[in-house]
Amino acid sequence: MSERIVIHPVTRIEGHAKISIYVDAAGEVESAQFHVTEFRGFEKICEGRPFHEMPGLMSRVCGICPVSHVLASSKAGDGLLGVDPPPAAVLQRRLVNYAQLLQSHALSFFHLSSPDLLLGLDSPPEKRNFFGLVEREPDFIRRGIRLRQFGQRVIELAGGKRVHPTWGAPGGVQRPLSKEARDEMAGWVRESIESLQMALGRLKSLLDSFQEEVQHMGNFPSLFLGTVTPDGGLEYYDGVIRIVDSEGNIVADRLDPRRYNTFIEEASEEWTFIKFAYYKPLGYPGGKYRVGPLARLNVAQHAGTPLADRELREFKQRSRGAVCESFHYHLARLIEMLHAVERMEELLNDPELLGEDVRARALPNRREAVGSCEAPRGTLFHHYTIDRDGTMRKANLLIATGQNNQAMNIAVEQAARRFVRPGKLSEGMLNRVEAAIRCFDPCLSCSTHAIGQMPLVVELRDKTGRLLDRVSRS
Amino acid sequence: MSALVIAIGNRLRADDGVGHHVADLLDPMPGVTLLRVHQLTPEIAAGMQSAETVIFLDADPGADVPSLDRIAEPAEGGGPFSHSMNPATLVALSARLYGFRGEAWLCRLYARDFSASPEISPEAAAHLQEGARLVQQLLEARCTSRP
Repeated sequence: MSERIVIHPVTRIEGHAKISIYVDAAGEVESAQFHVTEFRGFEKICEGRPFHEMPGLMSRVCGICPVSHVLASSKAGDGLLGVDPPPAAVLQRRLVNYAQLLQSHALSFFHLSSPDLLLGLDSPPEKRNFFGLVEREPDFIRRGIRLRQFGQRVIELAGGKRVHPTWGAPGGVQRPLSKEARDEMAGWVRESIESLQMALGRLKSLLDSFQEEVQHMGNFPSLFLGTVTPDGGLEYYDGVIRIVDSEGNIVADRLDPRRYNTFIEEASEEWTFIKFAYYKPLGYPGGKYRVGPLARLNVAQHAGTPLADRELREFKQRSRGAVCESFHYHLARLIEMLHAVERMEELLNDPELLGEDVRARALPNRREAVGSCEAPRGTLFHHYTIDRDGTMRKANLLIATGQNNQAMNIAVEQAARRFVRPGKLSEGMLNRVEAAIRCFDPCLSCSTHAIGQMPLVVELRDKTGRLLDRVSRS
Repeated sequence: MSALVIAIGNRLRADDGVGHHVADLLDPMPGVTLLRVHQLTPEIAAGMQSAETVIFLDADPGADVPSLDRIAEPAEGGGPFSHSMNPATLVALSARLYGFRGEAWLCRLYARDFSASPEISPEAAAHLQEGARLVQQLLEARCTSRP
């Protein structure tokens, strides 16, 4: 008799999700699914609104990565106007995008995933949380908080507020950056680099104790997709799309992100509201790919900043081809944060950043445009169609979490097969299944880690719905 | 005297923003800093470090009238999530990470309507002055005792 284990909710997420684990008659895990059970409909909300409102409206898509949506939306607006933003606006957009990457990654690594990494996946759940770390690792946590503060402060100084900033606009940004703001930002750089080097050293020293998790929590071949500079360097604002396979071979290169729908397609499944993006030439599900920190480090040949380049070279030595272990998203995240701070320092030293001319103005010159950028969790596309007077007719958002959806489902299934023993459920087993999701830091995961009691209930039922076993954290 | 007043809530969610409305009514005082936030996050703990008095202004669907209560630090962290904390967990976090040793107070404000609206309900509006009076009184008392 087959059985189904349901983890619901995965824990509070930026939305709602659950995991189903299917068990065969012999008691072995047969398959697993990661379901997203909410529907928001942002694309529909946009219809009928003026296109110049989109950056402000899109800022509300997410409380963790609003800057990414503002940026992709503003870039789509640039395309509709048919203008190039002034240099100061481009520099400011780049700066704030790095700040967003920094604060989002700091939240994921220090606040959400470090309890697993530093306290252990089997440590008592009432201690395996943010407060547990405060007790055990106060300096580590203080540094994590400061890193997130740095990113948020940059967003606040440029955009007026830390969350949902009213900052970007079609044709540029809303306001120039002041010298005082620039100088305050620069004051955070050295300390941030020191903290990131400390965190990198700490994580690398821990990896040996997670060998089983590294091998069995989302380690599988797939494609990797990300933005790179024309010469193959790390890029987050404006570049070309590169796709590599698990052997590290370049499958496609110099793809124009504005033509994303010629190489990416989305499939739907009836059991989840997240679509499944795939690389069109390989079809669904064969064209599965991953985006985000791990993918970006796999597609890039160099970082372009000295400290991150050194880390990237070492990172690439972990595999002959691409690094396929999803567990290494954590390490990739830290390397990206180091790179972001190095790039921010460069931008803050560029006098053109303070330029007064920050917005190109025009009436709409095109009816359709795509804006893209690298959000913390991966490549983000906003595709808008407007009518003659600039009213939105259609919006399509292709979001990183959707692009990682196939990969997250595979990771959950792999972790379940390896760690879950249906006859004897334990909290530690199930935490590994959740931790497989946390590697990807889906926009769901901004709440996949609790300070105290995580509201998780797992039930094992047979086909008739009879309760066979139950584990609860609440 | 150094005091930090933290107004919590979303002004676009009707009564959820009553903390901000009460903050609008406070007279500026030397040594008193006002911080406005949608929700409490760990980053705020660092800013509490040097404050002798911290006052949280928050909407409370269970409060019939405004009240001001001293916050006791929880023994075991408390609140559930690291990106959305309650005043007590934030006080605990600040004490443990940054050595906060001041006193912390929570002003609970009448709130019933959390719909999407920039306007607060007439019932909540009727309690704003009393909430502001309680907070102002405490600040003035601290200012007198610790100039």
